[in-house]
This record gives sequence, C-alpha cells and structure tokens, in this order.
Amino acid sequence: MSTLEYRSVGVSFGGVHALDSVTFQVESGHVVGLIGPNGAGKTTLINVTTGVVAPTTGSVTLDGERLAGRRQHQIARAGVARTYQNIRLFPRMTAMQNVIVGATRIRHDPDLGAFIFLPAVRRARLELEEHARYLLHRVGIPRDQWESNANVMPYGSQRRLEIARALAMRPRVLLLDEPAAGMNPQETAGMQALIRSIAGEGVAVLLVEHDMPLVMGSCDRVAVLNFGELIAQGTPGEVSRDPAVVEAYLGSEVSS
Amino acid sequence: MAALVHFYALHSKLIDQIGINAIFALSLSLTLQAGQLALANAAFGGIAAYVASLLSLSRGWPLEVTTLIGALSAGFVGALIGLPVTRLRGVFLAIATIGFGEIALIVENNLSVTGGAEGLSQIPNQTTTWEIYLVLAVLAFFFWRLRSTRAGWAIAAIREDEFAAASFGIDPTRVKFWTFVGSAVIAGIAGSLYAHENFFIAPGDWGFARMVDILVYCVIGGAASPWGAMIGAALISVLPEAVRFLHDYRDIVDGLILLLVVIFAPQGIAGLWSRDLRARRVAEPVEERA
Repeated sequence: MSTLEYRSVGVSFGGVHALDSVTFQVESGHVVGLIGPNGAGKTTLINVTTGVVAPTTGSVTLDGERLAGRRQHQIARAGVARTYQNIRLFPRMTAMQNVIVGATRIRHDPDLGAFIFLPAVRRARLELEEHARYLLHRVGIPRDQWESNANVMPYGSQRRLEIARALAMRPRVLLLDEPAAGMNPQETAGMQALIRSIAGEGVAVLLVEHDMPLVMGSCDRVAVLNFGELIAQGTPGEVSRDPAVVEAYLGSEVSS
Repeated sequence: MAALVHFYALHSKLIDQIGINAIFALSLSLTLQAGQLALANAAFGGIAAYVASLLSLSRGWPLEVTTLIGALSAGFVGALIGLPVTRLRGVFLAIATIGFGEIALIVENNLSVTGGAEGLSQIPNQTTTWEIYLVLAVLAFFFWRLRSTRAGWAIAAIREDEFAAASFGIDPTRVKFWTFVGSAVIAGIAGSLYAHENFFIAPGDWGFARMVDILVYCVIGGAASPWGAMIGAALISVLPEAVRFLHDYRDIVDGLILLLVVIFAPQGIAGLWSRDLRARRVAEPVEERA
C-alpha cells in the first residue's frame, strides 16, 4: 500500500503564491480528483510532485520517503509516473517504442548481455514487447497504429499512449494531467473505466481534470484548489455542494 | 583477385582515409544520437594523436598501446570538459565545444613538446588497413547492439524529448556526459590511427575545418544514424578523388551536394532508406484489405 502525501506544500514564484499550504493525500487504489479554475495551481502541484518545481515550504512524501527536493528522474524511479497536459510523447518513435522507453527503468536485462547475445536478453526483450502490446491494447489504441510514429497518431490515441507509456513504468503513483482533454463523451467514458481499472490494481491516482462528469464518475475523493489554496476536499458529492466551491467556479452572489 | 590487389595498391591511402574518416563520423554520431551538437571531435582526435605519437616516438611502443593510451587521454579530457559543457543545450553546447577546440589548437601551437606550429614528424607508419577496418567493424557492432540496450533506449529518448525522458527515470545529465566521453574516446582512436598513417601531424590537422568535414559526413549520411555516418564518410572521402578532373572547382561540388542533401533529404541518406521502408510497411495493411 502506497500513500502519496502532501503536507503544507507551498510554492511561491517571487511574490506570487502559486500554492499555499496544501495538505492532502492520495492512497493506493484510490483516485483523487484535483479540480479548480484555470491558474489555481493544479499543474504546479504535479510539477512539485515530479521534481520540476521545488516547493518553497512543506513536504511531499511517498510512503514516508521524501520526494520534494529530489531530481526528476530520481522521483520517477521512486515510482511516480505522469502524463502531460500538452502531450509530450517521443515524436519520432512508434507507439511501441514509446511504451518500451517508459519501461526503461524497470527492465532488468543486463546491458552488457546485448553485446554477447545472451539468451536472457532476448527473452527480456520479447517480454517487454509483449507487455507493451498488452498496454497498448489496454488503453485502447487500435492495432494498426502500434507501429506508427507518435507524431502522426490521432489526437485521442496520443492521449492514450501517454497513459500506456506511464503504466509501462509500473508506477506506484500515477499523475494524470487532463487525460480527457479534447475527447468526446464516449471516449471520456472509456477513460473513466480505464482510470478505475488502474486504481483497481493498487496504483494511487491523482487526476487533474476539467471534465466534471469524468471527475464525479471516477474519483473517490476530490480536492479543490483556488488561487493556490485548498478550499475544499471530500467525496465528489460533498464537494459539489460545498458553497466555497460553487463560489469559486460560478462567482459569489452580489449582495444587495 | 589480381585486379583487386592492383586496385588496393593504387588506392590504399584513400581506403585508409575512408576508414579513419568513418571512425571520426561514428564518434560524432554518438553525441548526435543523443541530440547533442558537440563539435570537439577533431580536437579530441588531435589530443589522442599527439599523446600517441609522442609515446611511439619516444618509447617506440606498438600502435595498439599508444592508441589505447591516446584514446583514454582524449576521454579523460572529454570528461573534464564534459562535466560543465554537457549541461548546455543546443547551440550553446556547439559554441562551447568549438571554443574548446580553439583552445586545444592554441595549446598545441605553443607547447614545445607538441612541436609548435610545425607539429610532429617521422611518426612511425604503423597503421595498417586491416587494423583500421577491424576497429570500424568493432565499433559498428557496438553501435548496432547499443540500440537494444537500456542505455541505447535512454539515448534515443533524450534525443526525442529530454524533459519527458527524465520523467521516466532517465538521467539526462548522466547520459549526455557519457555519450560525450564515449565520443571523445572514439575520436581519439581515429586521431591516433590518422597520426600513424601520415608520418606527420600539425595543429592545423585538428582545426575547425576538419570538424566541419566530420559534421558533413554525419549530415549527409543521416545525423542520428551510425550507418549513415559511415556511408557519408565514405562518400565524401571518395568524392574529391572522383571529381579530380574539376581541379579547383571540387569544393563547389562538395558544397552543392551538402546543399542538395539538406534541402531534399534532411534526414540524410539513412533517412531516405528508412523512409522508404516505413512507406512500404504502412502500405502492407492496405493491400491486405483490398
């Protein structure tokens, strides 16, 4: 069981507080939604988690192990995978190759083995490809796109490939940054099932998303950010009735 | 067979040059594969050439030993330079490495041990054709197998997107550092082989002009492909001989070919080939359906 824990995390850029004393946690097997208006600090929180931005105050831990302050690749090796809001696949690699790169750090075949044609290396390679095909199938990328370069794949497939690549790392924590952006309702429903099944395998999932039906349908808990502060958290039902949340999204009533 | 022997006797110098240039091209292709435009390979070749030549002149050691020591010296200098320099990106890395090349040139020009501007002469002519091509074969094998290793995948991922690669546990700084050092070692091997093939080396052999030559091999062959790099080296090394009848206009043909490749085949010769393959692969399912 893994728990990703944010404790009074604060980030300031100069005088601007992008995040202010944010505390919440994501447990393995759970999907926690992170919502909030544009500029609320959602992506900043993902960047803090993955080591792109160092927190000014507070701590981020995974099972008590400190993440904040470590470098990007070290945090990834600790088991934190992510997808990108503005797709960042390896453009001139095929879908298969993208997934195989995702597995770089969990491969156990000896690097020198490839130079002496060690049979174990060939077996590991076949297993790797087999697993990659399983993941591509699982996220729902049509078979005829598996060998095409990522940059020529349809937009929806690119979003799915982001997830397949992240899963290839066998992560303990998965950070999804707007995985359903630009998808139609039918595709979004598929995404919801996928997210639930990932959590069902014991992964702690943090879902940043604007699509409310997807958030309500897939999250166990929801945290709401506004101007860098956590203004509410609870079950989807609780949060959607919270007056502070309604105010943040719709603006307060003008008192007359 | 007799014709082959005759051909070799006539062109052995050129055949050796092709092999050495191909090794230089491979050295640059290693950093290019990681998406790094580092332009110090000629300088590293020079460092190794001086170290190896001084050893064979003063101690009379065999080529294998002096080349190894020379290449490792180039790798050592590469590591020192690489620590700060591989943190730079794109054109900044190019500028810094060109700067290093110029510094190396000035040092070689002014030290008495390197013979100053006159360079070193009477270097024993130990390099044999088969040794050059043995090295080339070993390197080609290395590059071929490297692609399937984790290190090879990490290099390719960094070329595609360094930032995304880091979020999959790949340490870009480390990978870039080691490709830089590896590139310096391979360039060092080429440099030492060159020195022991030519009797004579001078600082001018390792200047920016040579670096551009190496870069042209890789660009024409296909920037990120070791096969392309070797083909490019062979092509460009033969070209001046093939168009010898043009006399002073030969450089124009060189430039023209480079221009045509950059415009019509930006992925180089290797790119044309793989593009063709991919077109065929995509075409297959269509035929099935029909």
